Amino acid sequence: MISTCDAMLGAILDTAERFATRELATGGEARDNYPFCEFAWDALPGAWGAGLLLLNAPEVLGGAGMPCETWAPVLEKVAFADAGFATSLLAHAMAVQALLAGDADVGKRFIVTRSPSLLGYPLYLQADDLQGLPRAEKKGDEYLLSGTAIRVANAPAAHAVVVAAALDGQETGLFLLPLAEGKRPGAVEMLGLRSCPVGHVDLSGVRLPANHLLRKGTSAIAEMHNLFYPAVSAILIALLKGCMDYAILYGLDRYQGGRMIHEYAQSRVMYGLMIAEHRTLRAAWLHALEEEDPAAETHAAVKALSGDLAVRASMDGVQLLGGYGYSREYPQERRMRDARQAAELLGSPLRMKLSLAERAVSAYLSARP
Amino acid sequence: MTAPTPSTEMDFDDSYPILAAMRRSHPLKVRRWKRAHRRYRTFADRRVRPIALEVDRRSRQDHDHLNGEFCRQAAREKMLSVTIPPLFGGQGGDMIELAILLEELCAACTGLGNVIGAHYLGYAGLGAGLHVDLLARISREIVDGEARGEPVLVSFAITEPAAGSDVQDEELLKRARVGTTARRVEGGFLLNGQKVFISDGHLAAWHVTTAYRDRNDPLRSAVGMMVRTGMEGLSIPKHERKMGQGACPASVLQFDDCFVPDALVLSDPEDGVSFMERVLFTLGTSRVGVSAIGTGCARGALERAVATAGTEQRKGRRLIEEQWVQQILAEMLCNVMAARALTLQAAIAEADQGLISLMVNPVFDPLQRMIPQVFLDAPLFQKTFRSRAMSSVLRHRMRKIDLRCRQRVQGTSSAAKVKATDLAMTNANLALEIAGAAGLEQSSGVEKFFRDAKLLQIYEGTNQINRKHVFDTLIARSTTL
Repeated sequence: MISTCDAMLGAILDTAERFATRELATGGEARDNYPFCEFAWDALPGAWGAGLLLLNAPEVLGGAGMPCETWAPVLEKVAFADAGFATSLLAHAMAVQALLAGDADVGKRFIVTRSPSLLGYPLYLQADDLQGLPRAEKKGDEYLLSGTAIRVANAPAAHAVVVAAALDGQETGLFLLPLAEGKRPGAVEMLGLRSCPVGHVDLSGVRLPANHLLRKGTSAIAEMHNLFYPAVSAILIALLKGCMDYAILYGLDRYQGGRMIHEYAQSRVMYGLMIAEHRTLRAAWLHALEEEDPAAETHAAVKALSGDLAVRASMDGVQLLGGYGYSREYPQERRMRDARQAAELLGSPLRMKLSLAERAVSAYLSARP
Repeated sequence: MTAPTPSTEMDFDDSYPILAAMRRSHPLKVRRWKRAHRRYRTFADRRVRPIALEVDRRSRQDHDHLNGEFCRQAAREKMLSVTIPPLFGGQGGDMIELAILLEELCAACTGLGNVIGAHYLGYAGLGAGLHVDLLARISREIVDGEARGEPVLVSFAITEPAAGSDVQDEELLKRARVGTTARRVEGGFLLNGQKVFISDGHLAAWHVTTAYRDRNDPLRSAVGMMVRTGMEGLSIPKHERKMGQGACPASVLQFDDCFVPDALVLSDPEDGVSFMERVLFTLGTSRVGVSAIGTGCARGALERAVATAGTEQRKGRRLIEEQWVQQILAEMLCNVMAARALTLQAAIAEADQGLISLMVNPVFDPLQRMIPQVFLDAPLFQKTFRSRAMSSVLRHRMRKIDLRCRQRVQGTSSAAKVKATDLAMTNANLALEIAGAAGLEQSSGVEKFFRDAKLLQIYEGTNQINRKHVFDTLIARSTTL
């Protein structure tokens, strides 16, 4: 739970907004060309300098010591300028959070760096469907890993990544895997959020010291997801707002049939729907942020709905610009792709709704006499 | 229950039961459509599907790359002359055959399919000029190009930087901010201005171009002309970077004192008819094509979704075994069937009373299918049918199509375009819902349909403009407002 009135939070949000305005407001089209261009290293020092990479790290490690829910409003600011880079920060933040649960020495070694560098996290895992995870087998003081960790965010650019693996029995574990330069996986071409590189990490024959197991349990991954659902919702809400603002502003300047686009009632109907969606979603999101217990399902429910609404609104955002909306020279098409991609972060909306329903039905059944 | 084996292999009878049902009343036509369906599917399977993802990737990697080899292949396999009348050496296919072609291509790759679709849009624009000699000449070029394996494509250039969907609507066009001008000079026109988002602009040999003698009166002052790539004063400086359909360039055409001789003028308002009036009539034809493209895109998304559901798992079960996935796949197939039905309905209406119907002479059309090509190519035939008198006959026939018929054709095709393209977008999104994160990877082939589908709701008039047409032509005409 965070208080959005907190003075410290206010200062952090100002910093995040300044960073986003200064470093990310331009160059989005170029960053979006990844993996056919360099990764957006240029923006990383700014994020590091603003303290964003250590936001949820404790003060003893040089961090701000903020609860991980703080990331939600911060990422809303960053994603408004560049949702891909915001997703990169999200993956880093989740990796930091996982490291904080593990061995203190490992945490210190990988969280505190002399220069700006990123950590990776498997952002596209479905919390309740862990079939097909890589396997980890304990051999003495080490774990022997096998399989492939798929779609690990930041992996092509990270100095270390967190990977999930199935342990014996029903348990899963989150491991830290250092990635030496030259050993990083290649980038996978994705629909959106392209400034957050994604790679498949081959784990065959990888041996990790036992203290690289950061956390384990039957719900290790789900607990991490619950903490960060509001951050994903924030990215989606920012995308929705970006689409809405840009569409309305475009309509103020552009003519069709001798009238400005905003003068057409049909345009206003579309604006109105986007405004209603944004305001409703943001209210629900703020309500979720106030919740004491992140395991309560509000976080997941808001995230699932954020995905649906942001995707829908982003399509209208393109439509309201016509051909220019489809052009990569305008930001709307990127927002549409980003929204669809962001909807899949920490679980697909439809699968999340199924999970919500499965848990609700179980609860109803168990409550019956 | 045994797990279902996913398959989207549907033959002609499965796909087009309404056409198959005509086998007794129209046996020759049905046989022809079936043959065409087999041929186009084979072309899509061999020449389109295998290269679709690579072409899409390359369009991002190397923006300047153009798919010339695909066009040459399409020419070699005679995919560019399907609707050209046999009189001009073409295959004489009807709107239904064109719809089948576009669906098959676009189910494999909407971008590559649009390369062909945009060519037929251009050809329809050429036909709208009702200038038989020019139609015959360019048709011959297309056909002869196919014989040599050299593609001769036609693009349709009406969109401008400050005038998009409004140049596709009669009422909005009156106030549109058009910028391409045609100034009368001795022996022709001088063309100045810019066209944007011209599909196939970089690939086409000919561009059906609209320009305006009076920018303040675009509806009544529009001139239609054929501009050839390479003509002095025409440059094609760039093509747009787009979200999808990377295989089909959306080009900028720049005209700087480009002289177009009278021989290439399709229609001049001095002759009493504005070209834009004919263009608006043409859109009845071209929107059927976009509707077919939408149907293909919706089907392609379904096919990818079925394939993904057969391999991806959730909680240890293949997705295809999950009831929620089966329900979505069924919904997607319903969408394809609805889009296809509307497309066919619009194609039939168009063939009956639209632009295509002008070309069909109830006596001559069956004859030209039976007369050997060598006789059709004979100078006497050609001279007769390329004469000014023939153009006058066509214009007369056009004038005879009453307003209600025009409205019916245009409204029906707009309705088909809106629904088929919306359903394509719906299916593309549903395919991603099923595939989950796996579908986001370009190599999956799922996300590509999501990017490709969006353009369909925008070009050939946004779906908002088309809904306006549906209201104007099919609702407002018959109700008291």
